[in-house]
Amino acid sequence: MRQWLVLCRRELAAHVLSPTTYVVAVLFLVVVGTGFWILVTSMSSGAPSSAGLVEVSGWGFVLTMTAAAPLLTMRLFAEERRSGTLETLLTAPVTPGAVVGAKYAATLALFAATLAPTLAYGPLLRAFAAAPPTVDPAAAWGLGVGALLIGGFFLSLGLFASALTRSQISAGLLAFTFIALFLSSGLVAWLWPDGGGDALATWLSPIAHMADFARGVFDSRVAAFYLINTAFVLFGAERVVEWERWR
Amino acid sequence: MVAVEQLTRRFGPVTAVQNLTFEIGRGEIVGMLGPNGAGKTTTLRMIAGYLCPSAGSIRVAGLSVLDDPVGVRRRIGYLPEHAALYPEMRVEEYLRYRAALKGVTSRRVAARVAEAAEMCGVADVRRRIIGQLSKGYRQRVALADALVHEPQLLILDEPTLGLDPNQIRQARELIRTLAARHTILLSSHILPEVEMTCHRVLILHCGRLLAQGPVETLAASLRGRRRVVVQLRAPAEEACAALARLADGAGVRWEDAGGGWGEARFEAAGEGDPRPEVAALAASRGWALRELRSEELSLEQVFVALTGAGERAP
Repeated sequence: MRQWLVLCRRELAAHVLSPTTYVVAVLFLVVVGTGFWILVTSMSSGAPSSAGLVEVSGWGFVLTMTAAAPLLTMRLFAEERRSGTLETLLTAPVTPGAVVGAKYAATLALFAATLAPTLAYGPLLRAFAAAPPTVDPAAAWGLGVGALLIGGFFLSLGLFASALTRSQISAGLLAFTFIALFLSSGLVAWLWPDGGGDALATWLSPIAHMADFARGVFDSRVAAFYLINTAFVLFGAERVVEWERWR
Repeated sequence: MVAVEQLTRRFGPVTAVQNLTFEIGRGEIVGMLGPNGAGKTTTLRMIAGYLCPSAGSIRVAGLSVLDDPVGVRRRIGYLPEHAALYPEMRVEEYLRYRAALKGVTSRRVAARVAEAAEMCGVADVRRRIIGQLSKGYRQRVALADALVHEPQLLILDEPTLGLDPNQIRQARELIRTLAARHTILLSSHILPEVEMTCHRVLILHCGRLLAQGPVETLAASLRGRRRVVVQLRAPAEEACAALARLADGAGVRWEDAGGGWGEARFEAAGEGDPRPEVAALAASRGWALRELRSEELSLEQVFVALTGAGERAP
């Protein structure tokens, strides 16, 4: 456990020292902040419902994550492999599982930290709105949990891609491809219009999931879907790192 | 300390290491020698637990590398061929991270890091960022990393790579000092370095173990052909004909050494030392003799003789 924490701390430090982290953080805050600003402007001009806007925000978040997850994860294994530090790391008394787990946990923690400034939106609204709006706590929680579940899954796909190659660019492109393939699963509705494709698309679509979370609808099946998939992809990454010894 | 049995490693169709068997006792310094591509790095990587063998077994301190990889790695300090470090970290920060990762208790981390940094001569750069250090310093930081957790076995792959002559001498002294506390297995292709540092040598060629033993024993096993060098003031043909009786089939090579002197070189025919006979011959013929010596086979000559590198060289 102590070694796992040591690895985690080192990964967090590497993230903090990497310029990519700041690019991603700014990207996130610009996109999420813009969504918030549009929402506030629209509500203050008397728009009857925010449902459509929440959906658009869901799209915005998922698309931003599609770009951000590869950026945050492409370095994780590819750079270690390119520079040779993977050999130093894997000859230390740690298991590949601990290495994968620590890298993932550190990246997820960093991702959560980049989302943290959005916590200020509530107090900001209360401080500056003439008539403070009533915020549905379920929706606020839902947004946070949804962002972590969907973001966490995308990050695991990025980590897996990084474990496959020694080039950061290839890792980034591969991660982007994996995430894009997952996003395009919504297209089954179009390919298979009559035979339940619609239901399958809704069941797989992260955008629909995000919109549900943003409305305060918490479906434990969706949470299980993301948690199991994330664990499965991380297990795949651990196998790839272990395979390094048998190559 | 290390027991390797029938070790084989294949990379696709290429067999990098084949049926390697050797043992290393506690406290020994063993050098692994071989030309590039002989399988040295692959063997060291397998012992260090970075690569798994295709066949055979490796035991370190009684533990199997396959069954208890983490336990084995806890007992090993490994310096890879190319010292790979995190360039954004400071030297001390890196060594503390590695010490904690290798299970050094929190209370002892600071003391162990200070000791390892002092031993490897990086104490004066401990606040510097690794990416800004010279290659020699980085190599020494990697060496400090290898021994920061006081491993029983140190595996050093080309430990003097990238060091200047002064640093190489210091590294050699350091390795000898470390032998008091650690068993050391090092690889090198710099023969005099191994000759000066190691108790015992393993010679690898094309993935096979060609010979192993103390340097002197290896040389002695090939010393059937002792080389004699003699400088005489004598007529060349007459001297060559007389010396040819003492030489093996290859005959005598004569070179003019100037001022009427000539130098004859030949490989002795028998097991014995032919020098007394050469001296007696010179005295009986009235030739002036200014040098008479027997050339010991250096490790380099043993190496060339075993690997046949000399024949294949362009």
